[in-house]
Amino acid sequence: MKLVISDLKKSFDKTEVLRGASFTFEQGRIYGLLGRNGAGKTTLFNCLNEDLRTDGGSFSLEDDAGQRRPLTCDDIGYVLSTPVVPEFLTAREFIKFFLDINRGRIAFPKEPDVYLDYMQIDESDRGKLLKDFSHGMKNKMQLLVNFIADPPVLLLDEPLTSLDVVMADEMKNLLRRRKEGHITILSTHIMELALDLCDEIVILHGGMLAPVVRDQLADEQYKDRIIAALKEERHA
Amino acid sequence: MLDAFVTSSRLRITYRLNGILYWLKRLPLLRRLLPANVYDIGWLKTFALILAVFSEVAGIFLGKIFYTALLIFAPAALLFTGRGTAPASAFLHIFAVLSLLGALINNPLFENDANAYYAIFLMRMDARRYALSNYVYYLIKTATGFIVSLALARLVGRHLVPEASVSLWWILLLPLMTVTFKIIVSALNLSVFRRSGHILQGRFPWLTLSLTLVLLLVAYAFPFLRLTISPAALAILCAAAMCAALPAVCSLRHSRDYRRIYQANPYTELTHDTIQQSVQEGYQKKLVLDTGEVSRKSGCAYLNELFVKRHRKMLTRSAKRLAMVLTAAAVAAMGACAFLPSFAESVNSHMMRALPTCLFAMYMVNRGATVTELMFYNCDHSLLAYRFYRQPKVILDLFRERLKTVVRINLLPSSVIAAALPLLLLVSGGTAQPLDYAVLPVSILAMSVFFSVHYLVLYYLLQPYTAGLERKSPLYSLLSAATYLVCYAGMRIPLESSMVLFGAILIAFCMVYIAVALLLAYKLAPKTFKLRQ
Repeated sequence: MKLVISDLKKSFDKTEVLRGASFTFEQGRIYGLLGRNGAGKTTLFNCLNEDLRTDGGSFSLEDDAGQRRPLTCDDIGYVLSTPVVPEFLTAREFIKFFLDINRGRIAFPKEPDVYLDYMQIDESDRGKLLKDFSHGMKNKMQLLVNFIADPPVLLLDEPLTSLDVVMADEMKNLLRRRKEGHITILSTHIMELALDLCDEIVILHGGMLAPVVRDQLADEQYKDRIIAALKEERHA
Repeated sequence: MLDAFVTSSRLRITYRLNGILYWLKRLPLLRRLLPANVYDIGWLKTFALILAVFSEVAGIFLGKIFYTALLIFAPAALLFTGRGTAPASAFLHIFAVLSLLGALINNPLFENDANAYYAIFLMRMDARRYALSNYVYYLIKTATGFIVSLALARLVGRHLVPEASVSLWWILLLPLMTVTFKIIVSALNLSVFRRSGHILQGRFPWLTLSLTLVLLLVAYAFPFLRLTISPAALAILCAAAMCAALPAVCSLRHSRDYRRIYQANPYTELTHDTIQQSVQEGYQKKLVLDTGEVSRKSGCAYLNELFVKRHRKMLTRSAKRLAMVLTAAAVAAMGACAFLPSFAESVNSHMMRALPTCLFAMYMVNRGATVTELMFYNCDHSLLAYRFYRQPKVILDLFRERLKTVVRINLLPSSVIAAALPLLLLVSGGTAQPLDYAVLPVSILAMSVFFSVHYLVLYYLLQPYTAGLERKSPLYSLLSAATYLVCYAGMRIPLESSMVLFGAILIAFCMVYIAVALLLAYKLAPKTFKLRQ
């Protein structure tokens, strides 16, 4: 399975953010999406998640037989950089509601507490309203529902920045474990995270997507190559 | 000091100028015509600068002219005729008392607004120089504005109400008094801060409110009792205030506490990016957490039940209270009808044209607009970010649950009105048309359901809010305003024909509207119910 993005365009007023971005993301790999501030990483994710209407181009899923189909609601999960959770529910209630309305879609549904154990949410926190959760805890909840839904494409916008070091390490392991059979794309500004977790680095620069090939380079040299690519002047 | 003033003024003007450009860029028609980078276009900036300067000058003079005309001259000239208080004395009295009130509640030396925050904390300006230079400018503006407005009041007053016109020297003395009052209060505030570490201003809202009410009473009620400050006493007060202002000025001038004061009095918008965020926080503070199992339902019914229970303070509780108040009012009115025949007669005659009035009353009683706003702020704002929540089935299931809830909430007070009005009609003398007893309650219930459906369908079809909590749908605002106007105009319909006919038309309209609206919602909501960008 592949996520094929072709000639994707998006402008705000007269500012062209995506200028015909094209790339093919493959199953079983974690992609690090790097770009300078304002490069359009979140815009790209919003377009893929259909939160924003694109101005041109397309994106679709291609199966192993080469057949393409548009992405449906079940195909994509999106973890926002600023987590939003229904503040009037408790952690347990949020997961129950999520399981209820996705009944039939989740292969082997379990009790909410099993998932909360998996995410290491303290027993004492599970009955608290989500409005009283910290930023990092809300982020965990957001990640958790996306893990439960288990969509083939998972978009993560700056996912680990608000987590403590222990939790961030656990999250990295979780993402590594679930990468088989999935396409995971995470945007980040932290180069170390991208190099540590991602199988491939893709830069969004000048409104276009491009891979940065590693070519057996050591981390430091590879970093220099990524930074050089991000500094490069791009013209439409 | 002058340098500090020039720098902070440039900052303030830039802030205001960009505010004007931002506002221009948001106007419905101009938005499309203006280029994206409005902040970088010379002629637009010049235009905004002219507007900014104009608003500053208008702020100095227009505000003071309206204040003097409406709050001082008009009451002094009109209120106390025949009460033995000379209008000119009342004028001086009201001015003096309101000046004292102004010194207490409108005295910006220690106000940490956006300009102060940017200048002192972001740009690292010297807090004392910033505060004092801007305060001196503020005092000069106040005095100039009052000199002009008092001169105008004297000029115009001499022709309109000569006896309310004050002597020429008061035109200079009164503004000076206003300024000295402000300086003295600021110095007192500073001395309290030195001792307690707190600024009094804004710290005790109830005390401020009580003091305001007392001073307003002194300003406007005392002249009725011929109790006014005499011109001689006022002149002495002015002289005393000026003497007291001298040490106050020294104390303010030499104080090094300004930065600490601003730190102790943080800029409130720092914690709220927008007004909408503070509204959302306000809503979330009213959430009620129940312990244990609170819903045995599942899916959307589960979510909706929890939503209603957790928000019962804002949803069901207020509807219940309203229903109780209406019940008490209805019982009292029925009691009055039974014992006072003239009251009963009057009620009966009004009852015959109750339906058009009920249209507006039902609009006021209806909580659809508040409920949908609450649904967005506390539920949909977060959940609409998830694709699973935007599946057509989930949207429609939840719509159904919410419709039941909104109808139920609105029916609480509506059913009281629907039961009370026919009873009141009966008790007050009855009607020759027996059908009236049926048409009245059915119309009221139909209107209640109509309003419930109306607001929920508007919300689902237009979803006017953005992820940043802004309401960004001119159509939604237009339709909300139109709803109000139609209901208000409905109240004015002359009901010459029978209540039955009017009621029947109303019920038929409600039924058709409800059917069409629900059909539209079921067809279109899965596409339209999403976060605006």
